Amino acid sequence: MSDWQQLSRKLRIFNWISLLILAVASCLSMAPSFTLGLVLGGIISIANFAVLSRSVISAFGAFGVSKASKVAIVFKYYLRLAAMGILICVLIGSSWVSPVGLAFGLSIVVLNIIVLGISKACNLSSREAT
Amino acid sequence: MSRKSLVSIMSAGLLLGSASMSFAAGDPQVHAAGLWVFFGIAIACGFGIGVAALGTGLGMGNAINGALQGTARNPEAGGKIMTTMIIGLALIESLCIYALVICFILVFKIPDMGALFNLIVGK
Repeated sequence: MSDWQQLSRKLRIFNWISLLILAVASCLSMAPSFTLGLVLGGIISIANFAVLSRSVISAFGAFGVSKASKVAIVFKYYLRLAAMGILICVLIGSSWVSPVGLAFGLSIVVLNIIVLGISKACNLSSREAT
Repeated sequence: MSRKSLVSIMSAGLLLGSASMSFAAGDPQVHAAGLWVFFGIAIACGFGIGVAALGTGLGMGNAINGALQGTARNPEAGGKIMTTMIIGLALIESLCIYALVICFILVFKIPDMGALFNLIVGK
């Protein structure tokens, strides 16, 4: 497994771990609607990232060679977008979840990418310094 | 009149209009204010998601363009490039998702749509 594949795997694991930590912290200190929004938003964003990576890999292949048909790729792409839009619409429209919690949950993947990017940059700079 | 002051006067009018809804339900001016609030929300949501989708499309197209050019020039680096591109695409797409969430909050949460509708139709 290459360094970049390890990074991608690490990101997936970190996503679930950070979602768990944030959910427990929110459960202890915030309202139930906020916690529900955070958990559902986190699950939506992690699933969205997983489906996005799978569809991009199937579209371009690991070495730029396409494996799937174009219609299936475009259909899956729009299906993913529509499913996510409908889910978010239903969650915000029905007052079950707090919109702020949902936005926090949807940010989990982005936050993890930023944290992993910073840690990778720090590792590279420390390696170059030594 | 500068653009900033025009925008601040319009937003103050919208705020005052929405705040006065509950106090004067039968007034035609209040109906007009309710219509303005409705109009403002519709414009904000339409333009907001449109601009977000435009930026996201430009960013994703640029990223995919760069990744495909890099893979075509150096096919051995395809795996690295694809992984980086997927992470970049997730970052770019999240911006559009935030805009979508903000639009849904504007539509469903900020105004009391039932009261606003009753105000506009005069019930």
